Amino acid sequence: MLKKTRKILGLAVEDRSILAAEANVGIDSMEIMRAAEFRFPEPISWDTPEKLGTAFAAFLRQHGFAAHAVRIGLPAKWLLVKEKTFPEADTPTLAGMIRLAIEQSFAIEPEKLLFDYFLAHPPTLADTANGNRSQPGAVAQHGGIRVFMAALLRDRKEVIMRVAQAAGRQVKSMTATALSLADTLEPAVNHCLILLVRPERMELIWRDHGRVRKLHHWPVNIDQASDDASRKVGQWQKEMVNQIKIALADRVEEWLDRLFLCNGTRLGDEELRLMAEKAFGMPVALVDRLAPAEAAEIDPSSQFEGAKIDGLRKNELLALLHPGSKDSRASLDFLHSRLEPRRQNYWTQSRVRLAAGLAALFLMVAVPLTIWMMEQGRLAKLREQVAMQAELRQEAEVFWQRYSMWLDWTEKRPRLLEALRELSLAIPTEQPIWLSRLAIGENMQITLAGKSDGEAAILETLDRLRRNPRFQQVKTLYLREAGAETTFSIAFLLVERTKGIADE
Amino acid sequence: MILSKREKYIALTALAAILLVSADRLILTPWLEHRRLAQQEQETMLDLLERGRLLISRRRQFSENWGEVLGSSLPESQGQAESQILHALRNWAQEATMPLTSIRPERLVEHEDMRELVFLVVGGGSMEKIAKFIWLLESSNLPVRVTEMQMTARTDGHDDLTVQLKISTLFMAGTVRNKQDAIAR
Repeated sequence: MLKKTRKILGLAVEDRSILAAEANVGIDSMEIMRAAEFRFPEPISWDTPEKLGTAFAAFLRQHGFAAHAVRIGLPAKWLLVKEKTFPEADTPTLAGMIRLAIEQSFAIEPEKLLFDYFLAHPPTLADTANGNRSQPGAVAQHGGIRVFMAALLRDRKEVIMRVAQAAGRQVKSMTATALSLADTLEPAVNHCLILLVRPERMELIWRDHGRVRKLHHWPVNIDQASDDASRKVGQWQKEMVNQIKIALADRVEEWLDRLFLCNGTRLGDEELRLMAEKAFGMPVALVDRLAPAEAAEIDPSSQFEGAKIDGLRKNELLALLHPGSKDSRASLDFLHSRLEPRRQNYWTQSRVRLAAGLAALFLMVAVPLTIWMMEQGRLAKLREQVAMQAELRQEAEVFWQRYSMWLDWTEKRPRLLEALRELSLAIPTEQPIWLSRLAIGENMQITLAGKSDGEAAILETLDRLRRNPRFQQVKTLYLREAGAETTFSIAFLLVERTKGIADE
Repeated sequence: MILSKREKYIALTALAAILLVSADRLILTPWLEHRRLAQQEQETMLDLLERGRLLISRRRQFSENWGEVLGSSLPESQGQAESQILHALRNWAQEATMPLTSIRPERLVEHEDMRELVFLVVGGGSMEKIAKFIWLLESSNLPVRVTEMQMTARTDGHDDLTVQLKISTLFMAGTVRNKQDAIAR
């Protein structure tokens, strides 16, 4: 089997930068080709999407990015998120309830927002036994369906689309970078916290039963002074531990297996890990490089060569480009929201191929067949017409044969009087010459025989005959002296009068 | 089986070439050949139809003239043709005052639906009388024509000539029953 891959461009967008990585993504494989960070040059910003798109296109060209299909990852701070539990219902009813809840949950007018959600329920026992992590519509054990809802400002989406358009790219999906990472990271661990530490903000994701349940983010300023950062981390630890304890009914240790820490700051990894371990009282694993997902082959040679990108952002890019992440409905996608009327993508790749195949088959078989049938139809009509005409044509042929024979016969009548007239004009009357015999054939071949006192009169006659354009092929058959007389015979042809001759 | 890109391209090219050749041999070439034959037949049919239309229109155009020819002058039998030409020759000779010494049927030439009867006519007289006789013959409405003429001086220095003419006339063949039949066909 041929392994099919396609080039995908993953873009993790931020306020003043875009982190780009291009990968060859297959069904269960991925190979990072190149990665680079685009920092917006002054005065370009998201407020000038066309300029930003043009500059970004130049950046992509410069770094050799060729992929047109783009997956966008949004920062968590651009999103409004909320978790809510709904009563059991079928999927359409549930969607209706979620729509109503979302419209009431956020302070901004619903028209200005784009919404999406996913089910954040704990799986049923049957799901767990089957290893099924995402069963939409399944019901939580405690009698409700827990839903993770998110909203994005519609304007932000439009700006991103305009930038992508100006850069000549086509956006295929738009999700939250942190959620992609949380969805991809260590899928075997069902209950965990994922802490993303960035220089300017922190993001905490609570994954319960393998599904993201909460997403928190708050601004920090870690890199400027490590002491201050440590103090802030400490404050946040207490706050989050309290919140999680309330949410989990003080059973943090029971529910949480591990805390994953992704360091995107200049703080030492080990220092940060120890700090977190002390605060949470649970094992903290430092995520250096995203582990392969189940059944996914991420090329071990994947490199971010030349790109100065920290571990956290590398992991985010890997998660964005992760095989199957586009199709994973566990995460958000504001371009294909579950709340939007589902536009059935009728033209799937297989259908396009099928249509192309059918079109090719049509061109190869149906078109020639149609042309052949049309020609046969035309031929049949012609044959019918010829058959209908046959009797009349035969009669007409007989008629025309007879009539043309008659015409031919009458046309070939020798015009004897005309020949005699031309001849009398050609014979000199002033010369002593006598004609004894004249013969005119059917083809107007004329033969003259006669006698004269001398050759002069005969020669004069010959000259006159030759000068007359009606007489051609004039030749002397004989010229004989017999005593005082000279006998002669001349043959020539009388030709038809032509227009030129008639004019003369 | 995992193929390298190069192997993949070679395999795809080979497959495409095989498909193209097969499609050409099995579909395209036979189809083009069939089309060529069909077009040839179509052209032949169109040509036949066009010729037929032309013949039929000509028949319509000239059937009136032909009817007149048949009605007025064309004899229906050899006897009628002989009688008609003999009467005519006698009348023309009388009118031209040129005595005819001999009128003899010489031969019968067969055309498809018609027959041509040839007479040998011998007479004598002055040049003027002979010319008048020929003029009467040529200007007649009868289906008659002179195929050969021979004039010989009987006496030196005098306008006294002997003329020998081969005259032919047409009549309808016996297979064509009557004139109406001849027009209809």
